[in-house]
Amino acid sequence: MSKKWLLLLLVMGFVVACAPKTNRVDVDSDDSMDDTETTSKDLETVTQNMARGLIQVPQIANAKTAPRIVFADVTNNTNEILNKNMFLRKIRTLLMKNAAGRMIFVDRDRWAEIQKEREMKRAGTVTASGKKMMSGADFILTGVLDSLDKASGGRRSTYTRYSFRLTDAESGDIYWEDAYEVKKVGKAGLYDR
Amino acid sequence: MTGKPQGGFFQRSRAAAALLLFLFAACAGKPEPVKAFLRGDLDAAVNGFAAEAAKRDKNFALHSAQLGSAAITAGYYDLADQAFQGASKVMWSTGAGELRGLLSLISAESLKVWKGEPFEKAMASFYLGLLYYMRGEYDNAAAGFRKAILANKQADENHREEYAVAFYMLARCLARQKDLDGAKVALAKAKKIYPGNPYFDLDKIQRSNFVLIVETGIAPEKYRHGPGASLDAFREVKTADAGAEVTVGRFSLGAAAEAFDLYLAAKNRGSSGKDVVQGTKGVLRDAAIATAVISDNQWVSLGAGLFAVANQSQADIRQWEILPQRVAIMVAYVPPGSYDLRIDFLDSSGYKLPQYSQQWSHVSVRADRDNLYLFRALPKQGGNIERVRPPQTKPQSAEEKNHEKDAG
Repeated sequence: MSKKWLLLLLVMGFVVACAPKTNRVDVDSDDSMDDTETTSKDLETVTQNMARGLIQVPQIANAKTAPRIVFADVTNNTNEILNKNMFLRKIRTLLMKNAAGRMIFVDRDRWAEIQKEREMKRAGTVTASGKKMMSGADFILTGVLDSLDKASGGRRSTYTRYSFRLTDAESGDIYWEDAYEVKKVGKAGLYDR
Repeated sequence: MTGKPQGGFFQRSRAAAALLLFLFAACAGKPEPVKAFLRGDLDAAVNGFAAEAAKRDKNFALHSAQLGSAAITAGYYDLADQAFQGASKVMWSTGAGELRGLLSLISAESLKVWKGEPFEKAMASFYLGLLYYMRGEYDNAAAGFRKAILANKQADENHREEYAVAFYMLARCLARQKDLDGAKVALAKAKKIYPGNPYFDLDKIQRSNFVLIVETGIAPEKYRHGPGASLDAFREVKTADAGAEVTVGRFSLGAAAEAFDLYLAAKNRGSSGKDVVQGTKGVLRDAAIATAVISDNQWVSLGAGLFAVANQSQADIRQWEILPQRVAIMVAYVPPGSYDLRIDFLDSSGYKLPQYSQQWSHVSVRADRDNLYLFRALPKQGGNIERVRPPQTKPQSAEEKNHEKDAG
């Protein structure tokens, strides 16, 4: 192969390497942005661990009738603005897929719509298949996200703790609590201040 | 080319190059969206910055940050949120633009992906905090303010805790979340910087429901200096507006009190290894230019000239141009309702600047959460503030829906 062709191939290789592209990657892969914040991999790991832990809680696993669970808000005490309730929604999805029938989830996010529908049924505006009481919860699932951040010059470290707990909605007893911890350290390039 | 270059040709070429450089410098004004923002044409600024950000090039974070600034000032809160989130992602990334970053060490610094100075990173997070505070999402707002404080920790060692307005807003968030000890700590840090600010008081935080963030002046200007123009520094941009007075309905709420000065933050940003690299590049470039001019050997001259051309040492002076210089706060308790609001911007002697006066109507004060508004000293602002409506993107919780239902 002549030198001219070799050079042409090299230039083409460089052009192809520099061309913009979008790849589909696994949701539990690390992203290429290299910061110390929560990634989709953290979300996957946290929610899978928590869903697995919840199924094994004796009060749920050995219950004769499926307990009702309400998902409350997650409190974000980190330095990162997060769509914090994404964690609870993902846990719920995993539980619905893997433990259907062993627990029932009460939808409080749609409280107003449900009330309105009930009122229309009672008023005879729409059809009704029978009256039911609104379900009360046996357990409340909550979460707290905490972090410790340090930054100096171009260096930064973030320790994040994602913790969730299951509380008895009648007695206030905590039946289960679990946490996932991760520490990430990043260093900016010399070119970045 | 053979033989020794003619001195006359080189002199003529240098003169022509100098003239071209001068003309280029004279024509290079501020970008159009920046001009639009500064003349108060916020929609044009938003559209201009959005078009620039859509290119998703090395300046994406810069254009997104400026888009966020224009959008939050114009009241397009969802767009501002999106823009600041995008800018912050790049600004805090250590991996984005690695190749460009490495190239910038041996050639023009402006080749690198723009990630901003510590105070610019801090402002992007601060604005995000404000957006979430407006929504009543105090934990996410606190996250924004904490991150703004963290960004400033990259500044000079003696000036790492000077972001008083972020400490103050963090204190408000913590107080709303019933963490009074945390609020006291944050407030003490704010007070340390501005001991005379009358609003830095926990009791006032607990009793107030109306917060105005008032921005005046223009961001300090980044300029080149040093060998080969390789270093950058900031200088203050003098503007007439220095303070503001606020009237709600028929009641004067008094003057907004300064809580952050971006010029001081820029001045105290500190130095880094990058400055050493830039300085070295500048010295080498100056030496190469001198060699190219004075050497009698044409090959040495040519080599030195080519080295000088390849080694573009000029400092990167891209900056978030539409930031304000000063951020002031005004805090009060205002009974829930709808009000007219007037802001008079003042010069440093306390005289009103009529061209910046803003008269707003339908300023709503809600009972269920703190009411935060952001105003900037710009011409042609005012009108029905329902245009600057509170953001509605936060999914309502069951409690909020029930509250509205009960109220209805």
